[in-house]
Amino acid sequence: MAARLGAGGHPVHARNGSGLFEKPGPATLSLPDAVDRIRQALGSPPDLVIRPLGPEGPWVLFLHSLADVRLVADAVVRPLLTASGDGRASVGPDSIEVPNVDPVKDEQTAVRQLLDGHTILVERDGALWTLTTAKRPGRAVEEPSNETGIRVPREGFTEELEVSIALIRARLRHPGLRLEERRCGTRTGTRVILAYMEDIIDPEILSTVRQRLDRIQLDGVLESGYVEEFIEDAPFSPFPQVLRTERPDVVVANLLEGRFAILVDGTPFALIGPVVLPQMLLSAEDYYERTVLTSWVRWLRFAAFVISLTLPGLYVAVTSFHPEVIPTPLLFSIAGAREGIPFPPLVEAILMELQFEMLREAGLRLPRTVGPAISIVGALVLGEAAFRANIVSPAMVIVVAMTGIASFTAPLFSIAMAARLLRFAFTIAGGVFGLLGLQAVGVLLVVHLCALRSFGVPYLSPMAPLRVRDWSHVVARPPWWATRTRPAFVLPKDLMRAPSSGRRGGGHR
Amino acid sequence: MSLREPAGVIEHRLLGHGLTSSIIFWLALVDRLTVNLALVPTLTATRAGRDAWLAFLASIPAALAVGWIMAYVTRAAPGEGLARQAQRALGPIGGTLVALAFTWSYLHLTFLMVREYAEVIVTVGLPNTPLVVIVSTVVLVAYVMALQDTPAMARTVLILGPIVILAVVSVLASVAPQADLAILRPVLGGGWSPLASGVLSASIWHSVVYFYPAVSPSIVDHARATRALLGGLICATLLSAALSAEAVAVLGPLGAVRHQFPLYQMARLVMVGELVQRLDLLALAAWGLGLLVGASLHLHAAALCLADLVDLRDHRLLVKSLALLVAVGAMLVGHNVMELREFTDVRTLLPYVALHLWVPTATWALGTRARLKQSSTGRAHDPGEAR
Repeated sequence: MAARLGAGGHPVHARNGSGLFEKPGPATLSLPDAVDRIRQALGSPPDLVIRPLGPEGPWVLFLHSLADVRLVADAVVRPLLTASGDGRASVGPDSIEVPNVDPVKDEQTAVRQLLDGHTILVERDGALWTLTTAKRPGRAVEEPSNETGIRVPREGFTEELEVSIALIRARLRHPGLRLEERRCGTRTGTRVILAYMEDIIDPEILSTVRQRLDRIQLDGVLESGYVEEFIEDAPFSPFPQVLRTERPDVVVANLLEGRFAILVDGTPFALIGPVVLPQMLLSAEDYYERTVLTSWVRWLRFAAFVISLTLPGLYVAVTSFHPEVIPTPLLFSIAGAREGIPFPPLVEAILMELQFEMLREAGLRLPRTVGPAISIVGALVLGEAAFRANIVSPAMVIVVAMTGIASFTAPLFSIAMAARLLRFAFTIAGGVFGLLGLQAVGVLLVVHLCALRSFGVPYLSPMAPLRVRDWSHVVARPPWWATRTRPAFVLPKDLMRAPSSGRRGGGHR
Repeated sequence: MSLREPAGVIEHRLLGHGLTSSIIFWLALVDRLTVNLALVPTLTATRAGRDAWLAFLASIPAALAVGWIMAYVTRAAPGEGLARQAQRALGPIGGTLVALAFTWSYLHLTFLMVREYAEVIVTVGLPNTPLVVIVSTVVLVAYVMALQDTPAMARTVLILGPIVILAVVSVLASVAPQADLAILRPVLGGGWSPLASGVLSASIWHSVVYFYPAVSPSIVDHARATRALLGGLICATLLSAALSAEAVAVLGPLGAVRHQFPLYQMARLVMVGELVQRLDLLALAAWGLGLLVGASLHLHAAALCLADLVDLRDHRLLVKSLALLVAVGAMLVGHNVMELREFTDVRTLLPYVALHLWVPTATWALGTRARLKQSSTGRAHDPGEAR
């Protein structure tokens, strides 16, 4: 007589409506040792289902919160019951209709497999098998909200690892794609996938990332940010040393250039490395739009990044220490606007910047329906009020607004964050030491960037070290038919992307 | 490194870990030009008058000779630091003396550069800021740069160098319409003697490329680096000649001598339409960036040289003490800018540089030559080698 036992050996009735788990059975059954140990290891949770398929087994165990109950019913329990009813001597994995059936070497592994949503089959002789039946509740594939564009694919990763892998595989149908799985987090047991193209990636970079992933010692890994901090070269740098993306097309493009990607279960953000600074200012759309236009937009973004770093500092330095360099009519205009302002330009700038940053942060944390409205109203009202109260000059409002707009052009949030932080250093240095201060902070920043590496690759490649041939990969994009090589600064095994130009003369005659 | 890797990859792996020829070129160009921006056009114009530009052009053979000698002594033992190379050529005592002379010269030049820049900043930008604060700020930045490993520190010049050159060229181009080339004539109007004095003044400062032996262990390809070093020196000299010519043509022969920092004075005169005027900031930025590169390079070289001398594996342990020494030295190197000028005059500087740099370098070069000759003779007489 078959029965389904819940935690503690009490019968549990399934709610899936299949009827397979609804047969009444005896209230108590003696469990084999292996099943009992597994149950105890899990602490007899309420979602653990223990299904004996006969008086002496075999036994089927799964967590109904994580497993696909219908699949378990149709592909595991039903065939096993049928086989049992046929009076076969051996009722085991041969009868099961799920795609993956693997032996399990010990009960500890069996527990881990159960926690992944798989089903464990315990045979009469105590042999353990894992059956792939995991199904986690998850959202559908949607457009990534942080990396939008006009001419870009609308698919983004989800929190489910299998979906993310499927999105990559759907775009990269090549046997050279390698996916290595690791478990990170001693308690969360988070699945982490290292993806790369075996015939392209540099073996040294691959070995480095493997070593760094193996070094992760933490009880829980809940987001790819945990992994990022373990594997990056300089954790205290404000600059990100891996690229975070929700876009499968971006991951595939980088795999094809010889980089690796790391996918973490439970987060839609994939990590890509090694990366260089200019790459942080590129957007996926740059590769899909017309080359001339995207090259121009790239330059615009580079300029905007510099403006977002230095404009308030430059304004403060020039108005405080070097007014002679401002053209006379403009100088009069600025001086007139500053008349009656009680604060020096430095204090003015810091006040406005802080206000802007707080509004931006508030806009992010508020519910989406009211966040942008509050930000805009707050900026308008506070800016106007501060100007009318003679606390800040209109020129400063313009400078801070321009800086804010420039910082929004950065496609990657983390690089915009770095610019936000460093802007304060430039502003303070400009306010205290004028041009000398700006120069000093600028040089220190360049020194830091020159010393920074991402998995051994200098962060300012291909500018420093200089390799003009690779500029096409970051500075201006050539047409695809002229893109024959991969970026050498990623050190790919195979430098050539295409044997020769795919574009031939002729066409319509 | 796998031999199966394509050439481009191997080359790039080396680029990330060493000094390439492009880095050496920019280091030589920026270091040499920065000294010229600060001191040399005025000093050269003092000697050669309106022929200052010609003095620079005539100093090119001296630049090539200095660069070649530096490269020659370095190439004899490419993987070794300055002190080891010198000791190998001249023995323990001679080599140590050469290394000490070089170390002192690195530091002394840094004193001068930092102090000169601080004086100008106080004069034109921050009159209420104490000199010591400006000196400390500059030394602090140079200290942080010098703390990096040699390739990382030197790579900054690939970013900052083009900015320096672009700024200098922009100022020169913007002020060109105001130049009166007739002032430059007659060429050699004062005869050969002022020109010779001007050539000497320009040539003394070619010695700033003595950073080269200190960083030689990090150089990727010595043959290409030598060409880059010479190329950098020639480009810096040509730019200096253009600067001198324009300084005289715009400010007049007396103006070029009187003004402490001719590029700054010229930038003040820029007036291109209503849009571009008074590029003072640009001139100061160019000089400041170049100075920071140069000061950090010399501080780094001093630390490397001293570390090599005392057999210290990590040169960074010395950088802090040396930076402190530079800050103190920059404050004490002269009471005011006029004293600095007196020191940098050719009559004072020539014996000083000769004693500290030229004699040690010449001795080192001769020692290296003798050693190389001896080893080649030894090989020729070695029957095993002959077979």
